[in-house]
Amino acid sequence: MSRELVERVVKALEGKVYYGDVRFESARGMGYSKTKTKEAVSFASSVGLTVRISSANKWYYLAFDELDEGRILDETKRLVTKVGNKRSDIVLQEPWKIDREIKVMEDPNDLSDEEKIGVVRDIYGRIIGNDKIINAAVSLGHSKGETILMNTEGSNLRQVLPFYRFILNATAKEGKRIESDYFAVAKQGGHEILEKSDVHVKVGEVVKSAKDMLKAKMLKGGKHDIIVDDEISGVIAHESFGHGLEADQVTRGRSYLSSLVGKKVVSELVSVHDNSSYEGERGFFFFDDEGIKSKDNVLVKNGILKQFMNDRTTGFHLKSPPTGNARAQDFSRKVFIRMSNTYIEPGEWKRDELLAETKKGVYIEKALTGMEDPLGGNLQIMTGKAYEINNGELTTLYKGVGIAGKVLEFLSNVDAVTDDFELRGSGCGKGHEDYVPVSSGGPFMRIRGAVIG
Amino acid sequence: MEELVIKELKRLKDYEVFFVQSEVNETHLEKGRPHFISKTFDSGYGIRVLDGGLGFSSSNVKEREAVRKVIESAAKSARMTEKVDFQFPFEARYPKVDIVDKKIKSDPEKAINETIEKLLHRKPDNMEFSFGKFRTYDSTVHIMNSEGLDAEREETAFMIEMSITVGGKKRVEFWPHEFRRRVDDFGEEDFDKWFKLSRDQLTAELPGTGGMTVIFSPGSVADGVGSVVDFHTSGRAKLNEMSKFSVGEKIASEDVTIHSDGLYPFGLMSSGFDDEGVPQQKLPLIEKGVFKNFTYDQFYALKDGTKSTGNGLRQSDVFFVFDSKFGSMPTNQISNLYIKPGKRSLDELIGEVKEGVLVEKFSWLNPDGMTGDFSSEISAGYRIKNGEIANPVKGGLVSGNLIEMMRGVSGLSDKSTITSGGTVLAGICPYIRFEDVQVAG
Repeated sequence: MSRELVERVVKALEGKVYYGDVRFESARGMGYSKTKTKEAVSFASSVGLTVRISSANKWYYLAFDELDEGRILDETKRLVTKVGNKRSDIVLQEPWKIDREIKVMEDPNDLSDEEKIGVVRDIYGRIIGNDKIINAAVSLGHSKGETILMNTEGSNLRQVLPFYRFILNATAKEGKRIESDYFAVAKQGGHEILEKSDVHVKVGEVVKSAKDMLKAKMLKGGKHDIIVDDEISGVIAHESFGHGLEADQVTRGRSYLSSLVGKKVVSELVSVHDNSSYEGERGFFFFDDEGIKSKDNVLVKNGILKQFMNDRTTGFHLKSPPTGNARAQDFSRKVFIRMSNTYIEPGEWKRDELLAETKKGVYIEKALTGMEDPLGGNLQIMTGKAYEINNGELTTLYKGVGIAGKVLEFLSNVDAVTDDFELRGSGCGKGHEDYVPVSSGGPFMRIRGAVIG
Repeated sequence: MEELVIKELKRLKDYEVFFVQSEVNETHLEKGRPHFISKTFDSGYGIRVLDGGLGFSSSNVKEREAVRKVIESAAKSARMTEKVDFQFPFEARYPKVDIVDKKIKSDPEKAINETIEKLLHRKPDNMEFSFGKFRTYDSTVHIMNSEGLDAEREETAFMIEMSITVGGKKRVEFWPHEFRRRVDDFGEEDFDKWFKLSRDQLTAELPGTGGMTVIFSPGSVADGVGSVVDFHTSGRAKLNEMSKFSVGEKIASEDVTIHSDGLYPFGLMSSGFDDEGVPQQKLPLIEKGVFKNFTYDQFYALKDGTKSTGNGLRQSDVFFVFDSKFGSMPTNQISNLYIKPGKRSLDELIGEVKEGVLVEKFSWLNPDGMTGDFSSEISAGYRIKNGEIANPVKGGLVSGNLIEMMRGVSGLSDKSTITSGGTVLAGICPYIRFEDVQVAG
C-alpha cells in the first residue's frame, strides 16, 4: 500500500518539476531497560512521507506524518504549481532499482518480551551484586526501518535495515565519590550481536573499571605524547576530520580542507574511509536519502587528501559525482551530507610493542563526546580515562581528559598505528541537530606532543 | 486521531495519553540566500498504562489497528515489568504562563522571513552567513488520564542556528544555536553580539596554560552548572543513591541561589503543567549556597512518599528539541534553570580579575552530570589581564569539576538572560565567575 502511494505521488511530479523524489519511511522497535529504581519495556512505531522538489536551485520539502493520500496529493500539486518546472544545478543520474532486506542470524522478534527483559535483569543482577557498586543501568533495544524511495528519474528503491543495541553501566561509590563506566554495542543485525560481544566478560571489566575510577586522579593539562584507543581514533576520523569533508561545508565556504585535495595533509600512516557499504555496521545502507547507491569512499590515503563527500547539489558545483552520503534524521528533517561508517585503516604496529616503546606519555581510553569545527579545523574530544606511561608501562590512573588542538597538526604527529581494528556504533549530529546512525573506529595510534587537559 | 486513541484506551483501567500536534516551518540559507524551504506536520501520542508495572508505547500511526497494537503493547509491558507503587496525577488548578507567540501562530513564514531580513540588514558588509537555519514550532499538547485529568496547552518556539563567517585568507566563524519562545526574543543586541564574536575570532590567540579565573557566559552556565544541578537535585538521583547533595547542606558559594522555575514568562521549559499534567512551579533548589529541595516527577515522588513538584518532563534524548516529545516517557528533570543575578555588572566582574579568561562559548560543554567533570574547548572568548579584556581567545581546554567549582564562585553578573544553552537545558542565567580553574592551550 505504501509503495502504491509513493508511486502515485511521484506521478504527480513527473514531467512537472526538474527533479523530485518521494520517500516513505516506517520503523518499529522495542526497548528493555532496568536500573535500581525503574524497569521499562516499551514499543515505538512511526511512519512518514517526504516530498522533495528541486526548482531554480532551491529545495522545497513537504513532510507528512499521516498517510492521507488526498491531502498529500493536494499539498504536492499546490507546491508544484507554486515552484514551477525550473532548472536546478543538481546532478541527475540514470534510474536504478533495488529491493533488499537484511536478514539477521537471530531475529530478536523471535524471542519473547519476557526472554529479552530476562536478559536485561540477569546482566543487571551480575553488576549490582558487586561490592561498592550502588547502581547499574542495562538496556537492550532493537528496531527495523523500511525506506521506499522513488524519483522523477524513474528509480524505484526499497531497503529494510535492522538495528540492535545493548548498553550496560556500573556506578561505584566510596564516601562522597561516585564514578561509573559502561560498555555499549550498536550495530545492524539481530540478537547474535549480544552473544558475540562477550557480555559477561564485559560486565567484569566495567565493574572493575568503575571501582578503579574511585581512585583516579586529575591530570594537569599540557603537551604530552599520547596513545589513543580505537574508539578515540574513530572519533578523530569522524568529528575532527570527516565533518570538514562534507562538501556542503566546502560550498558554503566553511571547510578548512577546501583547497587541500591532492595534497599531503597528515601523516602518511593515516588513511581514512567513509564506507556506507560496510554491511553489519550501524551506518550501513543500500541507498541514501537521495537515491544514490552506497559505497566505500577513501577520503585520505597515506596522508593525502583524496576527495569530499557529495550530494546531488555539491556534486554539481564541485564537478564530482554524489558519494551516497545524503541522509536525513527522519522524514521530517532536511537531507544533508552525512557520514556513515568512518574509520582509520589499521597499521602494522602491535599494541604491546607500541606501549613498550613509549617511554613517557599518556594512554587514553574511551571517547565520551566529540565536536566538529569544520571551518576552524580544531579538535575537541572528551575521553573516559587515562593512564600515565612510564618506561613502557601503564602506571597512575587518571580521570578522563580532553584532547584539543589543530586537527591537521595533530594527525601529522601520528608516528605509530597498530593493527587493531574495531568499529563502534553511535549517533552523529550535523552541528547540534539532525542525528543519524553512524559508526566510527580504527586502530590505536600514538601522537607526539598533543594538548590534553 | 485523539478520539480514536481515547476510545480504545477507555477499555483499560489505569492509563495516560500524551498527544502532541505540531506544525514546523523552516527556511535554510546558503551563503545568505534561501536554499531550502519546508513545512512539516508532526503529531503523535505516547501512552502509559498501569497494571502492576508501568508500560509505555508511542507512535504517530493513526490507523485503528496500529492504535490498538500500541495500546496492547503498553498494556503488556505494564503486566510484565516489576510492580510499582504508582498512580497517575489528578487534575489541578494550573497557573497561567505566557508561552505563545502570536506572530508564530498567525504567520510562521512571515516570522521567519522578517527575521532573515533583519539579520541581513544588520549584517556588516565584510561578514557572510555561510549557512543559516530558521525554524518555527507551533504545537498543541494534550494530556488525559484515567483519573479524570484533561489538560491542554499551546506553545510556540523559534530556533536560529547559523554560521557567521568573516575574514579573507584566514576565515573564522561564530556559530550560534539558540531557541526562544517568541521570534522577537531575538533582538538587534543578540545579532550585534554574534557579529562581534565572529569578527574578534580573527585576532584570537590560545588562552595559555595554568590555573586562573574563568568567567562563564549565561549559555555556558546553563550547560555546565545546569547539568550537575539537574542531576543531583533530582529525586531520581536521591533514590538511586547517586545524589551528592543533602537537604540543608552548603554546596555552593553564598552568592548562589538557584530555582527550577517552570513559570518564568516565555521560558523555554515554562508551562502551566508539566508533561504528566502536574502544575509547574518556581521551586527553590539552592538558597544562598544551601541545598533546599529535590525535584520530583510523579514516579519518584510516590516512591519517596512525597508529591510531584511538576518536574516530569519529556525531552527527546539529551538534546534540546521540541519535536517528537510524544516518543519519550516523562523523566524527573529540572525545568528552567533560574539563577538569581548578582549585584555587579559583567564589567565590574572583569575589572577584579588579574589573570583570567571570559568564555562566551565552548565548542560543546557537556559535563558528566554525575561526577561534575568536564573538559571543553573554547570556541569564542577573551583573555583578561589586570582587570581589562586583553585579546580574543579560541582553542585550548578549560577543565575541572563543576560541583567543586560551585563552591568557588566569586561573582555573578547583575542580569540573567534566557538561554537554551547548547546541550541539555533551558536557563535564565547570569555570567558567573569561578576561581582557580585549569586552562590548557
